Amino acid sequence: MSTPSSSSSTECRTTLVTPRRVNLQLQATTQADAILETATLLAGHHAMTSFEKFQEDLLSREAAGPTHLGTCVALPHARTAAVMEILVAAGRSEQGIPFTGLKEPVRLIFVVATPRSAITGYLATVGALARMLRDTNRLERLLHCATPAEFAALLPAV
Amino acid sequence: MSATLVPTPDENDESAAPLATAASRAGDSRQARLRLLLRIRVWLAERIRFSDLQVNLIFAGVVGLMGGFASVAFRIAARWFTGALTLHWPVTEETLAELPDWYRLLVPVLGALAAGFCLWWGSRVGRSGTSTDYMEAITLGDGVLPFRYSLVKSLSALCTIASGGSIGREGPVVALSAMLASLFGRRMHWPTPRLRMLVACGAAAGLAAVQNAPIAGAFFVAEIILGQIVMESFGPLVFASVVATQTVRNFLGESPVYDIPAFRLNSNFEMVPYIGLGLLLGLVGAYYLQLLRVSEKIFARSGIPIWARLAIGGAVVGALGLLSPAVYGNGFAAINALFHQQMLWRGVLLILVVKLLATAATFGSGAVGGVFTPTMFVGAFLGYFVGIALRWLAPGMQFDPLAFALVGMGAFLAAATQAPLMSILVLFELTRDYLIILPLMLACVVSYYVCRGAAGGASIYSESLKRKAAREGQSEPDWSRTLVGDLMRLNPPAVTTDAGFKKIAESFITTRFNYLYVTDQKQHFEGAISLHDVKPYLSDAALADIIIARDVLRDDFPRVGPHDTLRKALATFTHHDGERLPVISDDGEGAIGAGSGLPGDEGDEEGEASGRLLGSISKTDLILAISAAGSKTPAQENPAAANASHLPESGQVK
Repeated sequence: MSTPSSSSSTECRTTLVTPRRVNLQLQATTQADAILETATLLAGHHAMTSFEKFQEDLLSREAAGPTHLGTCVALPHARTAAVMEILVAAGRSEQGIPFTGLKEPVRLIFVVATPRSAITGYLATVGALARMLRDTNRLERLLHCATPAEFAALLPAV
Repeated sequence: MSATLVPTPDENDESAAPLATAASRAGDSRQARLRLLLRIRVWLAERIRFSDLQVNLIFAGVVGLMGGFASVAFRIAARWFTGALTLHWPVTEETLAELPDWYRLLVPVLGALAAGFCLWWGSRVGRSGTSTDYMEAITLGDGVLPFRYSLVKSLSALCTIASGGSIGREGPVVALSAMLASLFGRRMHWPTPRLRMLVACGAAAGLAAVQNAPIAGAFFVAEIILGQIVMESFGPLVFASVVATQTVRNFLGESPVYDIPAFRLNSNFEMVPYIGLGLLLGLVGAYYLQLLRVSEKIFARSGIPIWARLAIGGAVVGALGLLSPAVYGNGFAAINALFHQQMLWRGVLLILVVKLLATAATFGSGAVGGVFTPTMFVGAFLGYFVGIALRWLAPGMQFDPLAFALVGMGAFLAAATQAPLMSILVLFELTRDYLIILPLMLACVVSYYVCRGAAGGASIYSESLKRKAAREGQSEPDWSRTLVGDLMRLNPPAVTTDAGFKKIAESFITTRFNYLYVTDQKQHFEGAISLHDVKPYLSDAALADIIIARDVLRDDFPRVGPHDTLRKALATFTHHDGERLPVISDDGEGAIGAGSGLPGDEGDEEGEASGRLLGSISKTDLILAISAAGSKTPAQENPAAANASHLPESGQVK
């Protein structure tokens, strides 16, 4: 069985996060607010048909089960009818945000929005993010980089 | 890869480090096993695409095994019973013929009395509302054959056959095998179409086992009982027949039932007399059917108890046996003798007449047993007689009466059963001689058409079904009114919306289906997970803890309601590549977003009701049910004939 990353990388390589979708200074202090603040980076994207609906779906999914990786990283995600293509936004909090079921505060939040029809793409994107964020070296660099451009450059294409 | 599908202990907790290491090793081992199983599962799913079709084959094999054992057991039991009745051991085909005259007269009467008592007793203590006729169970009923009364009928058949009754053992063995299949299917809680198919496999296995002829077994059921050859049912029939035959051969050897000499065709001109033979046997076949029917009517209208009727039938056989011992039994021995002894026309004619009368007496009296072998007997002797007559008329042509006997067997069987294809294959299988094929095909087809015209499409088997259909008209299922709920299987494999990836992976390993249904906590159907969608990621440890079922389900998954027609279900299947469809309650309960927790659910936008998951319907079951609707029963073909006859059930198993 081929690994998901290898199969997806040969088919279509797209930039996972652009600097415009990165916020290195999240102000929110609660789980829901931090997720929505990160999600706001996707508002106005041409592939977003209803930002309100996307927010609802994102919080609904978050309530259904944990999306954190057990470390200081969370991947709130939702398959939703409110987007037409896979979108990713990233947020970083200096002080950290308490997440349900997690001792350590979350400092990195990656919001993933996927069209309902793109199940395989959804798994590929979330899987690729989860794998790269388990790399402690890369995680350290993401936590300490200075600009959104540097941050986006640390995330390889999928 | 450090992450596992099994959550690891907290690495920061130093006191738990040794425990954590051990748990981590155990987790790694489980993860590796799960990954291996997943690889195998996905490999199989992509290459074999397992469905009910393959599963049916496996169960057909089990039924074939049971049919084979049933045949062997019945044969041994019949031999013991004959030994007990005649006080002779070992029992041979000639045992009855070697008895003193008075005892030869007495044995069939004693056996018939015992058989009659069995039927009388069985009807008092064990009779259920369900029919015991396997043909009815397959074509008209629900595939249910009662265990106790079927055994009683088989015991009755044993008494008749062991005491020399002119009837075949294929009937009770076929019925016994079908009953075992029915029992097996009911234990598995199979829906009606599949249960009926399993009973059909039992019948095929029974005949294949008795005749040592697997092709005959499969075609017997396909052509006569099902009236069609579709691979959904024919494949299992073949499988069951082959397994049954191999089982019997393991115990009784591989030699064919009949020791048949090589077939000779002296010239192409001989095809003409074979066509004539077909014409004659087709005509005689119609009278043969009438003889059996008249005999049944006479006994039925006599009003005497069943045990007395059978005793009279036994007395007739005993008396005719004094004229010619060939009347005893199913006729295997007499047919073999015909193929290896020079017989004069007077002897052949005598045996033919007494055998016809003995069969009519046994069959008409209501004895349980088959008429397949006696019919072949009559065909063989008729063919032989025609061969002798032709040789006398045209001595220069060197006609071989044995060749006419062989073709006669097939042609008469084709006429009486109205199943020419099966008859051709039976004879080909019995002779194992390709040379017989051309004259046999001609004679079988001609006799079939002649008899069909003369007897109005009736056959030795259609009579039974017609009567039962007329008497129990309500038992005939109207498949146009069958609904999805009637074929639904309960408790389909499903997970809840919050099930993690590990649970999903395990569910795909433990079931053979490629779609896993997803419900909420209240059993409301939310959609299905496709193995195709998730297979590259099922063993991806990175996704194990953050993906749940609702993330990857297809909420536009096709579905049917329990009150939908089979036609609608079939139409839904045409747009769906799966083997099953979920059956969702259509009572409005749980409709539109109830319990889905997905505000953005597309189904909600489209106003699609999301009811409770009640069960699933299989494509194979659906096709079997629709196939059954497509093959008309004899009663449906000729309702006038069905209504014309109102004979009481004799308990015959043909």
